[in-house]
Amino acid sequence: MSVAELKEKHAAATATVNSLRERLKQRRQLLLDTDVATYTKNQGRSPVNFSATDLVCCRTLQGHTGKVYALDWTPEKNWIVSASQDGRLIVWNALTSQKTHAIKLLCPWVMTCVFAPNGQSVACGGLDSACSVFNLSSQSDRDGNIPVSRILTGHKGYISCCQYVPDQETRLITSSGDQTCVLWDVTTGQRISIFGGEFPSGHTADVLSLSISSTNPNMFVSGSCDSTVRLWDLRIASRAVRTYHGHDGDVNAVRFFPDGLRFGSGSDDGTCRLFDMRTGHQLQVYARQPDRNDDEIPTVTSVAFSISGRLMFSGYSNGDCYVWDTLVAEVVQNLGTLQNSHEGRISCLGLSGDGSALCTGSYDKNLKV
Amino acid sequence: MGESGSVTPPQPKSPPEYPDVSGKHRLKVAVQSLNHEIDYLERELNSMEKTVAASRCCKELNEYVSKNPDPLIKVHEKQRKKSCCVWDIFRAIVCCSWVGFCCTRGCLCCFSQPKRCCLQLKDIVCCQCCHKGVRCAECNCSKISSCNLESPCPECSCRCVCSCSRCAKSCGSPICTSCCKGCCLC
Repeated sequence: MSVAELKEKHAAATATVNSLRERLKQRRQLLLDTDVATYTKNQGRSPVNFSATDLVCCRTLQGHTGKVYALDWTPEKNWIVSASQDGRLIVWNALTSQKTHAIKLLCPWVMTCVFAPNGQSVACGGLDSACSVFNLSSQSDRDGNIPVSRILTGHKGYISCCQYVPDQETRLITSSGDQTCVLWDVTTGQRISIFGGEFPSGHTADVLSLSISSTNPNMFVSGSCDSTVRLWDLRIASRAVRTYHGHDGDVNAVRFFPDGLRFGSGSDDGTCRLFDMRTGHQLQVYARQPDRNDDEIPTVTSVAFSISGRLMFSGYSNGDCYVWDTLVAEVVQNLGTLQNSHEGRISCLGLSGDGSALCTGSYDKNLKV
Repeated sequence: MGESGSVTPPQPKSPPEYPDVSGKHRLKVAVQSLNHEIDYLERELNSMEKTVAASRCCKELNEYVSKNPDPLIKVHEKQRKKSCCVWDIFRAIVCCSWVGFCCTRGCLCCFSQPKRCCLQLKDIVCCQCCHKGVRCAECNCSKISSCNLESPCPECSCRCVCSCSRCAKSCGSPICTSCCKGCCLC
C-alpha cells in the first residue's frame, strides 16, 4: 500500500472514530435522565447533619521528618503504614500512636505504600520504578532496618500506586508513570499481566492511582494524566473494559464505592465524580464552591468513602478535607477548618477497616486520625 | 556577439526520492490503532442498547446506602450505644474534656474494654498523665501508679506537661486535681 493510500485510510478512520464518539456521547446523554443529588432530593432526603463534635481529631501521629505521601490501614487491626519523603515507611498502632516499625527505604523517593491483606507485609514504590515488599516479622539487621523481602522490577516509569488483590497475599497490582498497570506474583517476582502500554485502549499518559473492587476483585479501575479512568478485568489484559470520560484534568485518585459497583474519582480539575462501573454513567459531580481566597482551584489529591457510602472524604491541595454527603452532593463538614487540623496539603486519606475512623496524611509531616 | 534572450539561471537538482520507510510504518501503526479504536467504540455503542438509565443506578445507590449503618454518622443514641467501638470512646473522651485545653490522646485504660469506667472520672486526664492514686475500677491499670513524667510507662510514648501555671506554683505537681482539670499538652 502506498503512503498516499495509507494517508487516505488514516483520514477515513479518524472521521469514523470521531463520528462514533459523537454517537456514543449522544446515546449516553439520552440515558443520563438524572443525577444522584436530583434523584435523592426528589426522594425527600436531607443532608447528613454534622455537628462540630461528630468528627474530631483524636490522634496526631508525629514522627516523619518529611512530607507524608501515602497511607494505608490494615484490614482488621488498627495499624497504619505511612510513606514519607524522609525515605521511611512507619507502621503505627493508631490507637496508642506508637510506632511499631520504622523502615528505612533503599530509595527515599517513595510515592505509595500498602498493607498486605494479612497485615504481615507492606509494599511500597516510587521513583525507583520498583515495588519493594517488606515482611514485618523479619528480623532487623544491625542498624535496626528490616531487609526487603522482594523487589518487583519491570516498570519503565515511577510507581504511583500499589494495591494487593483482596484476600490474596501473593497478587499485587501497581500503576506507573509508564502508562501501564501490572499484576504481579509477589512470590516469584514475575509480571503476570500488563494493562495498557502496547495494547490498544490503554492509558495514553501516566497512571496515577488504582482501586480494586471489593465485591469483584477481578475488576479494578485506574486514573491517569490523560483525564480518564479505565476499567480493567484481571483476566483480560489485552484491552480496557471501559473508559470513563468527564474530568478535565489529571485524575489523581480513584476509589471504589463500598458496593464495588460504583467508584469515585478526584482530579486536578478540582472536582470529584461518581461513576457507575457497569453502565459507564457519570452519576454525580462534586464541585466545590469557588473561594475568593483561592488563587487557583485547589486540586483533589485523595478520595475515600465511609463504610456505608453515605460520606465521601476528599483531600485537597490547599489543606481542605471535605466531607461530602454522597447522595445529596453537599459538603457537610470541612475537616481542614477544625481546630487541630493539618497545616498543609492533604496528600492521602483512608478509612479504617471497620469504618469508624479516618486517617489523613499531609505535607505537614503528620498523620491525623 | 549578439545576446539571444534571457539566460535561465541554473536550478539545483531535487533530491532523489528515497522511500520514507519510517513514515509509512508510523502511518500503518496509526491506522491499526484507529481500527482498534473503531472496534472498541462500536462494541461500546452496541452495549449501550442494553444499558439502563442513570436513574436506575441512582436508585440502587440510595438503596445500598440506606441498608448499611455508618459508624461515622450520628444515629439515634440507643443505636449508637449498641455499636460502640474503641474510636467512639476516644471521641467521647475528647468531647468531654473540651474545657479549653483538650487532651487529644484519649484514655488508654479502656483500650481493650470499652466500658464507661474512665468516663466516670470527674477529671478526665490521659492515663499517661499519671493521675496518681486514681485507678480505673474496671481495668487494672497498675502501670499508672508507677508512672511519672521522668520515666513514663513503657506503654506511654507521650511526656505530658501541664501548662496550667496554678498547678506548677501551688502544688508542684504536674497534675493536680484540685486546681487543674488535668489539662495537658502532649
